[in-house]
Amino acid sequence: MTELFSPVVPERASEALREALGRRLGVVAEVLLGDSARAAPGAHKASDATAALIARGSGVVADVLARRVRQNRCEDELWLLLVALTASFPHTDLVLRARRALGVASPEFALAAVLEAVYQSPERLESLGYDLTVESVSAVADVDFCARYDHNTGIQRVVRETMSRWNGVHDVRFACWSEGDDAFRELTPLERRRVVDWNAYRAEGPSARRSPSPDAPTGTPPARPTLVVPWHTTVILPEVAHAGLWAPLASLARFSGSRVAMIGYDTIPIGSADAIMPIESEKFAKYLTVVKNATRIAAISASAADEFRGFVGAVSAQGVTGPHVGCVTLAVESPGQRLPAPGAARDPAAGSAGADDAHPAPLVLIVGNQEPRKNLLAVLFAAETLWREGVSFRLRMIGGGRPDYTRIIDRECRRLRRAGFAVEVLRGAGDEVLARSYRDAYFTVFPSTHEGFGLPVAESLAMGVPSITSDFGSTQQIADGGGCLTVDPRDDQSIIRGMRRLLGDPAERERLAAEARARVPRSWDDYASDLWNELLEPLKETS
Amino acid sequence: MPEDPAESFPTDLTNRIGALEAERLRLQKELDQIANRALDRWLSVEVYESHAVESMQQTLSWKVTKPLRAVREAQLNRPGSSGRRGSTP
Repeated sequence: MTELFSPVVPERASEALREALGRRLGVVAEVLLGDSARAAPGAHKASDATAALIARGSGVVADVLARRVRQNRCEDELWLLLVALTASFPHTDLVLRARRALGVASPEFALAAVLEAVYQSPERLESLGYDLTVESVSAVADVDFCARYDHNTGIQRVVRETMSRWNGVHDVRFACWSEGDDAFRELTPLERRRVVDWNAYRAEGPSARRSPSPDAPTGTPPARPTLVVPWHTTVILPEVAHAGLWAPLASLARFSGSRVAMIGYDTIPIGSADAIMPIESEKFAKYLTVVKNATRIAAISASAADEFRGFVGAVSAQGVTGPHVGCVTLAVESPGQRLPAPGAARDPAAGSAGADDAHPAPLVLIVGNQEPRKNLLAVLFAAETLWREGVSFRLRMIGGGRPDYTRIIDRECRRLRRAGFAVEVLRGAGDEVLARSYRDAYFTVFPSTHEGFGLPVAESLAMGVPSITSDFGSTQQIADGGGCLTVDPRDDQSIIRGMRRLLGDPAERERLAAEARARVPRSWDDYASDLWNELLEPLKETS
Repeated sequence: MPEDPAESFPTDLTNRIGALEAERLRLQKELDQIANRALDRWLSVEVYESHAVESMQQTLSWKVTKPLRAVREAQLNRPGSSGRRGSTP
């Protein structure tokens, strides 16, 4: 008979796992017992006493630590002990369960209480073979997604442009998550280049990336990078952490003694839940538990800052202070910088910017993800109205989206094309196509109902192209700097009037274009410097 | 002539103290062994449970039911679904 299931026989954990546990407990003992060990008779430094303790075995170290945590009743110490035991950042439930178990345990049963609490936890422990280092000096930045993936749009650009400028200038240590999302770990040399040296990494190409980096440490890199455990330092969250990380991050923010500083992009999945997939709103609601326990947030626009302040106001009903919310306005990189230099060979993969490049009519451009809150159907309605009035122009939409919505856009565009109107949709367009489209555009239209920033408006203006955008929120704040015509995105007639005005009044269009050209876009240097000053400097003063 | 108690008593005491310290050390080692064994067993159980789940995920039945789980996940994630795991459509 074929055996379908290989039975797992309980056996003693491997020597490697037992040694790793011992080393982790030793590191934490150095941290927690440092002061008392130095006071012990005959111990000239902490490591003497701790070494003597470690020599007696891991169980003895764990027992001493558990008794200490029980006696001191310090949640940060309990959090750190749990990290050492489990090689993972504990969830809030576990910390509370262990704390309560210790609260009713006698000293000799302190360790048993902690181990029992861990045993009741449903989380699988997948990093038990890892060593750890406790980081209490440098700030720790969680750059998990940017370190592990080549994707580079929106948030990833913000993270890479910022971290590459902080690297070597500020005292910050980069980390991603270990297997099973258990805890922070050090980056491998490849992951580090993906974050702080993106352009060189991209230029190398996939084949070069497979070979060891020339600047990689000599010798065989360790199979298992070391876990990085922030304790009484600052943890920076420049990305929006994925679903599996919210529970350990919220617990870290609450118990580890570390301050958590975040970039706040928007609260669209809550504020515009009516225009979002339900699962996205549910996920985001969980993400807000990290926000609730954070210390500082730097929102990417004044409008986004208002949204986060609203959330902080809401959690005051729970008796929670919530984070301080500030604003550091995003940088804007002109898409024109991505165009090849004059005379340089054109990227054949870039193709033509559009099917109607030779068309004499002015180009109206719409850039951005295609989803309900972008209000694209209102723009198509406005365009059709104007076409039927006899106004001549062509409309180009660049951006992708979820199939259930892009199907609706595609169907509407097919109908308009059949009626003889010049509308096209480009999906999967590269940087060069995007830049050429901006360059050729008469103006752009972006009447979104909810944005964290409004990057297509800012990029349009950076290219000297006027933009029609919404008369509230972050897009209004961008428009305040000149170059925009603002409309009420919920009023179709307002969008029609705006487009009719710019298409029919060349002088007005040129006036706005001149305003756009006169703007000085914020650079990434500005953003990185301001972000450090907003997020990290105040925390240094309070640490 | 009787032995001077002032000289013999410290020797007895020293021997007694030495014996007690040896006993204390032996007992301390026993206690250390108990603590080490307890942690060791806890670690073994944690590792075993993690491996048991991993092993289950390698089984034929887990693999053949993967499409069913994918369909169920898609059902839960589609618009109109409550998105709650375990809910019935």
